[in-house]
Amino acid sequence: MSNSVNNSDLTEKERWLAAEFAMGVLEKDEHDKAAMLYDQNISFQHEVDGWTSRLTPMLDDVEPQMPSPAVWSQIEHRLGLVETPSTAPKGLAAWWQSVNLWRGLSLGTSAVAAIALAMLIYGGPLAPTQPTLTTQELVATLTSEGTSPAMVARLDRAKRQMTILTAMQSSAEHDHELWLVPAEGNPVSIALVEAQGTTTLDLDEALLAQLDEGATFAISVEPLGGSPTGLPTGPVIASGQLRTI
Amino acid sequence: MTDAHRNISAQTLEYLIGRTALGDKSAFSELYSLMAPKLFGVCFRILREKQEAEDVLQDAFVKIWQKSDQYAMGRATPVAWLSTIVRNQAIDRVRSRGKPTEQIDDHFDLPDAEPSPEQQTISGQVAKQIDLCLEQLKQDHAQCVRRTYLSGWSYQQAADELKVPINTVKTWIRRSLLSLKECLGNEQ
Repeated sequence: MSNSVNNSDLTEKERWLAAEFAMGVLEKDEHDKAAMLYDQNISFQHEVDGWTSRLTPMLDDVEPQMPSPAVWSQIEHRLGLVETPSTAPKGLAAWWQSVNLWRGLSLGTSAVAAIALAMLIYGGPLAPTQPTLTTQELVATLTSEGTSPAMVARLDRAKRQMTILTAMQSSAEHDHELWLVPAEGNPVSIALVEAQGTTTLDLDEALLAQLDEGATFAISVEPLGGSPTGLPTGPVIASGQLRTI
Repeated sequence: MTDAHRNISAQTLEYLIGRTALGDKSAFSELYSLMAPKLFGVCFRILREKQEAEDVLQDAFVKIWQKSDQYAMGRATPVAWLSTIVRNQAIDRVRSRGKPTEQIDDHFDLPDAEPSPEQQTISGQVAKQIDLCLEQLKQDHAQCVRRTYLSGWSYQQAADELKVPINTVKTWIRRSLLSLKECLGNEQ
């Protein structure tokens, strides 16, 4: 935490103002004046930050207390962070709804993810090399009950590729494994997927043959390196089906 | 309350603030659950009124969400950054009341004891350093600094509460701040 900025361009008076502002002892007018100066003057800002770092450890003496749960829900409402509860309609409507939900989330999550998603959904304009809808395109949105999507997958049969965009809680102790869950028989491992980001998977012919409208995907939490048994061993955190777009 | 007593690393908080700056709602939510009890304690200590303290906590977290991209790693510790937002919000509120904080006869008025070892330190090892530095001050000066800082008192309020002339309070605090700066150093 180096604070090696030379604050000597501040007057003696300004240096005291910084210390007393950080200490919190100023009356309203002076406090407001200092707050303004903090936003405008970088040296003053550094001086205040130095004092803040020195004084904050005193707050260790304060006993933590639980605020009522209403505080968090009010914060969520004020910032518009509350998601519309999913009413789970069928077919294309369901897909659009969940993708819109997802878009809202990823626009907030990061610009990169939003662009990646736009490429996933709209293909063409943002990815000129990609043929637009020359073959059947399939998309799956993987969710767990009542939460925002954990993954969106887009299958490009012509390229034998599946592009996936994930937004899951990352963990240093677990991996996430993506499975194809056939109507009958055991789940088939597709790949380990990153908790956050975009990945393009190359699919072999055998797997591709099983990926059709209605094919079900699931993501399970597995030990690092993936399931040791070749079958899901941890909890399934999201699932969804492939749909034509 | 378990979260509040967990030792929260600066790296975790920095990561969560960084994710919040990217608009990651779940990171923000985790930041809230980790820090709200402590920060609410800070608000309540200043405002001494639950509803008002909750309003301030709410405003402060709205600000944290909005200003998270301005958090400059390395300049201030994440705890210093978060608690400054909360403290300033609470002090703004208490100053605009225009009258001194009502004294409630509760355990918060007890003189602040030295922190017990099992008490959670939100700012890590520096906590011990400031206690050592405060110990070097005259006892009533150290008490004055501690109580004034934790209660969010202005010079005038501190004078009223401690029943000493305002100029005395000013002198005590200014002298103490100089000693603390010398003791704690410039490099934080």
